[in-house]
Amino acid sequence: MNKVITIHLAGRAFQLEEPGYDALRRYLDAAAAALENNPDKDEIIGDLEAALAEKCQAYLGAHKEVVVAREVEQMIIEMGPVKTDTSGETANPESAAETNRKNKERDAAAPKKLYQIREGAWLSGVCTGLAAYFGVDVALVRIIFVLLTLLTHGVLILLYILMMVIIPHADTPQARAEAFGTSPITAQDLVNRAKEGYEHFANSDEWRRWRRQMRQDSRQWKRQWRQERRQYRYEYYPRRRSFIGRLIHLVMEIVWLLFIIFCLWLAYYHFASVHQFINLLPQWADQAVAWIKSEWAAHH
Amino acid sequence: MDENIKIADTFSPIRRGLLELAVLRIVAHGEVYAADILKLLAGTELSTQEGTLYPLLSRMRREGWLDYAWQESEQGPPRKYYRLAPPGRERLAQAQKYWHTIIKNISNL
Repeated sequence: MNKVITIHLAGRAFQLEEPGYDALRRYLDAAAAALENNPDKDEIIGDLEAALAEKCQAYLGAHKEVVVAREVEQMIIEMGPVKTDTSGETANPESAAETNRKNKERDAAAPKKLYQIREGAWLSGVCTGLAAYFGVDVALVRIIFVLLTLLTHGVLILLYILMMVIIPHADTPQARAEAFGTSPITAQDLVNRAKEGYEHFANSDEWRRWRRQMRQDSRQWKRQWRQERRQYRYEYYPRRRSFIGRLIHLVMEIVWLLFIIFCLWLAYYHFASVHQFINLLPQWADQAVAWIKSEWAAHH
Repeated sequence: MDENIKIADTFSPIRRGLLELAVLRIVAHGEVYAADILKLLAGTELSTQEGTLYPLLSRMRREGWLDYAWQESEQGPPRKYYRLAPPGRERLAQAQKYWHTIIKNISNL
């Protein structure tokens, strides 16, 4: 539920969600600033507003009266930043490479923050957030997490729950950009540039690739889970069952229970051997080093 | 793919300069609406956005190359339809001649 703000563009009234209104306000303010010395400033702003009005109109229908924030964001990305038109006059157009370099510098300087990212999350988004923070694949983070959980006798689960509670969710565009450390945050132009920075990020291949991958992952995960649940329902809640059927069912359940107990025992057994293996690692490493040293000495 | 992007970057000032010629050529066909210009350019190497096009159109009108007329539209407020003014025709001829010279120079190297 979001507050709605009514605005008028080119003589027509539109209702926008509050965050969408803020974004639009920033966009038009930035446009006005860019056109400061342009003699046709007011006219161009009017044209832009008319174009925005048409875009808003396209999002509305008989049963949709409000333009949501996401749609406003989309509109602003489509419109593109307003550039003072300097071609034909003495101009110093910044080359694309230069802009790129500046963006990179800005990104490097931008502080990265740890957030939970819901997009592609299995549980709460702790792993996706950590992956974004360290710039590694989320699968790697999950594997490490599971391994560490096993090695620490499950203490990490507690840590996970703690992180779930403490780390904030990246729910705003700006927070999302910060989670990846791509947002241009400097104290004085935070307000003006946050939007622009997010656009740069939303258009970046990095974010697009990440999002595509995440969607695929979560879709697959959900599909599997749904399938399993359906199977479970089919097996455990049949409508009618004969006596023999019930007997088989009972036997199967006992077998299933025994299988789980076996699995647990196996896990415990392996757990011990994994411990042993890890304890032996330094010893093996020493042996390997000694062997390499002796080989080296023999050859020289 | 990366190479393509790099090349496109190198040519971006040229594309920016060519946008004026492209708009002159489009407007020369008859009266057009700004969104039509964007639609025609979309998908080409010269594709652009409102944020770039509107200031350009306003400058071209100031130079006297274009003028516009308001026309009623069925959906929404009246729209500005741009058309080529006589000085614009001259400008278009000059720009096209110059562009052809550049192409000739490049292909003769």
